[in-house]
Amino acid sequence: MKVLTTLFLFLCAAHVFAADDFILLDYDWESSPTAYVPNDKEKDQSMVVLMEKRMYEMHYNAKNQLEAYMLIHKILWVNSDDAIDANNKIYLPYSQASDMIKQKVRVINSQGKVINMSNSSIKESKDDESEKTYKYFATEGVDKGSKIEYYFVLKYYPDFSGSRITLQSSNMKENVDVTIITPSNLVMKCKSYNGLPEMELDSSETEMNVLHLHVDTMAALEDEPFSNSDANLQYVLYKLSKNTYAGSNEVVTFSKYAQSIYEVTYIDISSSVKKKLQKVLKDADIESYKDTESKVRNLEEYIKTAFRISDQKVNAAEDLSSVCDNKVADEYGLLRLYIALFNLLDIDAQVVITNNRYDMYFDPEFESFIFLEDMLLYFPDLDKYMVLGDVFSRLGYINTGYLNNYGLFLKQVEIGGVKTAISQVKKIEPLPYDKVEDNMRVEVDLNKNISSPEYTFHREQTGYYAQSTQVIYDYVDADTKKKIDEGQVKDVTENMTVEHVDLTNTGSKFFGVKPLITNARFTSTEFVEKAGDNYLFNVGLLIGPQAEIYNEKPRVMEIENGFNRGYHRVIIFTIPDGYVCDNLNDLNIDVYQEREGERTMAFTSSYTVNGNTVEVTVDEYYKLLTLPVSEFEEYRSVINASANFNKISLVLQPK
Amino acid sequence: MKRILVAAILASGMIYCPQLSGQTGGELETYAAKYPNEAIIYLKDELHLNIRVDKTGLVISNTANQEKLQLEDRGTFFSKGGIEYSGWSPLDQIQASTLVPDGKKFKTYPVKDFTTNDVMEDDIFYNDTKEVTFYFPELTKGAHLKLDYTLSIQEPRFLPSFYFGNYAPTEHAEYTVTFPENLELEVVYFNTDAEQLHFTQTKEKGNITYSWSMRDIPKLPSDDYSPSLQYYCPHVVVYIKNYISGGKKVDIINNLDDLHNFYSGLLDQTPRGDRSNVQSVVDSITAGLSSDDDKVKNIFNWVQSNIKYVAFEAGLDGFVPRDPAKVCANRFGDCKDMATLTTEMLQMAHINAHVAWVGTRDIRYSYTELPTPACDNHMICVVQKPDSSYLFLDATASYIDYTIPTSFIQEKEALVHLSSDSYKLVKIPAPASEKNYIKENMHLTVEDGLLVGRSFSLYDGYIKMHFKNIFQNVPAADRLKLLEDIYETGNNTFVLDSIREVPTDDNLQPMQVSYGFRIKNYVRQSGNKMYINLTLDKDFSTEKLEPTRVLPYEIPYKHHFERTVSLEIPEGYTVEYLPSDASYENDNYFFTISYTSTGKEITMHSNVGVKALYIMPEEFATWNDMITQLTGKYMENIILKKQ
Repeated sequence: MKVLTTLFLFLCAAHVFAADDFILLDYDWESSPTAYVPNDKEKDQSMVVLMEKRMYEMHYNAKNQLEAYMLIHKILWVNSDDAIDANNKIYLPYSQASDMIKQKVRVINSQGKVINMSNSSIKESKDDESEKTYKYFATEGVDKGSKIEYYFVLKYYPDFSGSRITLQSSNMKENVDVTIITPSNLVMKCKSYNGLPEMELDSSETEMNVLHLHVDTMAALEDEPFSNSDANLQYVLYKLSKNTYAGSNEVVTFSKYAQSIYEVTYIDISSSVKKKLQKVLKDADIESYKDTESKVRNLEEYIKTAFRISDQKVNAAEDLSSVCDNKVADEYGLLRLYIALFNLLDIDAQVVITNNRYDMYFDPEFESFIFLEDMLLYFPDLDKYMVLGDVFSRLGYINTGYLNNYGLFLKQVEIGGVKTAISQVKKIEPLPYDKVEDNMRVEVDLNKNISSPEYTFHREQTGYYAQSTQVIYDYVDADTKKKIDEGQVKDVTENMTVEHVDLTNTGSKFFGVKPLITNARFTSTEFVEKAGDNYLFNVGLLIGPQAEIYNEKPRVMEIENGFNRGYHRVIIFTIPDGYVCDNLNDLNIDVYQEREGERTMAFTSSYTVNGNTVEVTVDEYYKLLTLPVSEFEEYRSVINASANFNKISLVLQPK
Repeated sequence: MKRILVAAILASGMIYCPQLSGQTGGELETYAAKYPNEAIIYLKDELHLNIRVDKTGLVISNTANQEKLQLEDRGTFFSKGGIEYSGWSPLDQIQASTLVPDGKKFKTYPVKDFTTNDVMEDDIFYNDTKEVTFYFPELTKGAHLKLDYTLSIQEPRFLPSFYFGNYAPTEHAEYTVTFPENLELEVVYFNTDAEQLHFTQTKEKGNITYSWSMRDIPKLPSDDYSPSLQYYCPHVVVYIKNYISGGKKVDIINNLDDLHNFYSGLLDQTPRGDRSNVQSVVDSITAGLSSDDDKVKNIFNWVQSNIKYVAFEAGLDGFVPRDPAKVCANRFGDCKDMATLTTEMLQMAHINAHVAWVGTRDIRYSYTELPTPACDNHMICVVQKPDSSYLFLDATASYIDYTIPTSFIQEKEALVHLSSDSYKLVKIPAPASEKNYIKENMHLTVEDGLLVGRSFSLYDGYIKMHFKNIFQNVPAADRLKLLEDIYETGNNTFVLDSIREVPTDDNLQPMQVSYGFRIKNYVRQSGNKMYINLTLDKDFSTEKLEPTRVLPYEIPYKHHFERTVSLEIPEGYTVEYLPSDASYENDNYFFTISYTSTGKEITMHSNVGVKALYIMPEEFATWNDMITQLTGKYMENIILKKQ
């Protein structure tokens, strides 16, 4: 995207720096380090980051060009074989556009011996596809209790539109230090997340802006079930706010981004390109569909199978004419194609730019391009979203990472005969629970071959539960199909023989339209245990394995789900002739959370008896995507209710 | 905008130059009918090995010609192509194109862009492997995917093998080798023979061409836990014994002596500097020890725990061990570095130790049938004890006892380097089932409906190695959660209350672990009866083999699990029912389950094990029969009745 790179031009400089003036070019580590003696808290840790220093330094050079260097300096203390294995090979990936100015590595072993590594032992690999270079080395002489210390200085091209420095990790850290130095005319804006202190401006500095943050001890953030760990790590975002020599306007704003996207997307179409676009519509047979949703859906299906996506930045992949000819497009080419096609079809499609909440949440308050990563289209008439480039997603079911996150929406408007774009940050709401269901009905007659009876199995899945099977089904060979088919049944237990299975509504064109239906028959010895002439029917296991959440440690992160979801299950079984069951009441479970009189999540099971036949109904749903830590116990009790149902065993005794 | 591009990534700047060629006449229909379940097949899979002798010596190249036919429309699914090569066989040239049916002809769309990348592998830290990738354009039903490339082979001992089989059906496969008539070439067949491969030999202008071909090759089976391709796929391996150059005979590999000579020469390239740092380690860890066994044990343990596995495989790095003094100081190395260091240290302690080459279990060849580098991929240290028995020391496994070889070289041959001109082949044993075990004594009580247990377990052999790894390697902070997952039994309400490794005087003793636990919802009650399944651990119950399986079932090592579970009969209850005893035994696997009661306590005793490394297809039915009987027994409960 050429347009965006021209947003930043810094022509004026008040203070010119010679190379000698850069702090980082003179940076060095302590000359005589010593072995580390851990305190009581550290002793139990597998490893501790004793120091992590990051510095970003930018100045104008003699040619009046902005020059930037960054430093990462770490000291790790390794206290287990695992930690040694994980850290005795160190990889420094960096963009091929950057230059590695200096790198130093040393080990201070448990006895205090200092082993300096020579640069000749540092290997290098290039990856042209990702345009990255890797410098990597195996640290020498590391034993348990060693310190591994390394730093490197890169000459790089700073991204003023927004950068993230993630500081917290799954290891405990000490002496975490970040400094950002910019020329006095470049005013930066920073924001810290998840409890990290804010960067402070050093008011004693007048010739440059120095922002700084220091944390003595940073706890490890351990993964927890039903959480979003990466987004919960402590991190800081920074971006250029103002170039005081160029004016007092905010440099990085959402509306500027929206405008530039608009300009490259909504382009004039020549009559020759129009013909090519009409050919695409003809090949996709869009004319044969009458309603908007069918048109959108089938056009998406066609493009996602017939066109190939390239992430190489070449003109041919962006130019609409070549895109139509070659059926190869990069993301912008694809965006132009969709917009142009929907324009021809007179379907209102808005561009939405967002990011994956599993990296971090889009912060509407911090106008930065860092959140503007992935492109979706929003169809106001359908109130549905579509992901542009992901061949595994379809209209209505975008990648779950975009749900519950904000996005930058832009739409074309005409003001006084001039077409332009207006943009707005809005939330992409999660889908309601009944759009994503995994329902099943299992029937068994225990009169027949009770130790290994035949079960009739019917399963209907919608939304994300059907996605992986429905979308890939057309692309796999017969053997894989067979494995997928059986896997649909074996989700209940691996320990079964599938006698028959057939799947209905496979194929991406059904995804989001019709449920994936599995009909099967299987036999298994898993569900009936024996005790003399008594039987134990493990009816609970028929809903498949259910996770149990333990409460060993206090919950730290809020509960976060991928999507809202529901499960409706029916189990019908016949008590064998001559037998009775006395503990059917175990089947009655009702655990739920209520807010303002409405159930927000629940696990409810009950049964009815008709002669020898028992019908068990199980309803489970989760209507809220996130819940605060204070409601963790309620969440846990519903999740664990299903785990408890899972363990219900009915005792069948002779009359 | 990086992440959302999940689909194939296309090479840039494609300009299509369609050319008409070939004939399509009903081809797609024919093959679609022949292979109704396949989306793609190989029409042609050829390899041509060309060996010449010029003034500089041997000049060897290897040309592959492959052509696939796409039988179904899969969008861009099959578009990515690529080949890997290393510095031993650099890429000379590569061409690829798509042939798209166009009426009765094909249009040719050549691939214009090839991307070369360094390959970074997880288990090898540094290598010189490169990967060329590209994308077949215009893929559609009926398209041909053509790939032709030539590698130049730098080392005459590293000739490729040719496998008659792919993971898609192959219409025609052919391997040819062309070589001067004054070159002596040896051919070795695996899982096939000359007749089956329609072997022919032709001679033209002083060059001989051997040719093997096969038609209608079904796709290779893919079963989990099976031996490698070498064990079942038909393949041909050739090697150069010698040739005449300038009137003189040049030996390459006439026999195992020559292979050993070649290897010996590589060992000689290890720098020999000051090794006093190694000596001082040896002195400190063997001080005061008189028995050789203790010295071996201490030295091996030192290398195991102090040298981390980091592999370098670029060029000669893959073959020449690094200076042991450097490995000792750096604290890392790969197998050959560790083997060399271990050997050096043992020799310093006057132990009869030697480095040895060995192939892991996925290599099927023996040195006598194929005396080439294709036979091995690993190095260890071999100690010959005064009683003529051997120890196979492989320090790449951090927690293995020095008395047993690593599991992945069981029953393989070691080529033991005795001196620069002498060697010995030694067969590596597979420890018996009795040596690799879990022996557990579990004591259970029922407290308020909760099943409460205490357990004392012994682990030995490879199983001990796994548990040592977990107990000693995982930091205290993460250990309990991990152990809870590992020890979970009964159901997932299992809570581990306490666990500890009981220290032993000698680390060769079985490892001893004791732990306590609780399980909710496990004891079933109805009326005045209590039902309990005492087979909490259902060993082997998931090992039933699929009826569609065709390949042998590979077992990592012979082993057995012996468990004694005692339940204290709760106050006021009596035993109403005990399941019957059962057992099964043949030469390769067995189980026994029995129940006894003293009136105060019920005891379930089970012993399940396997005494072979492979379950062969002819045994599948009996194996499954045993598993069925065993899992049947696992579904039985005792009944206690309230008086």
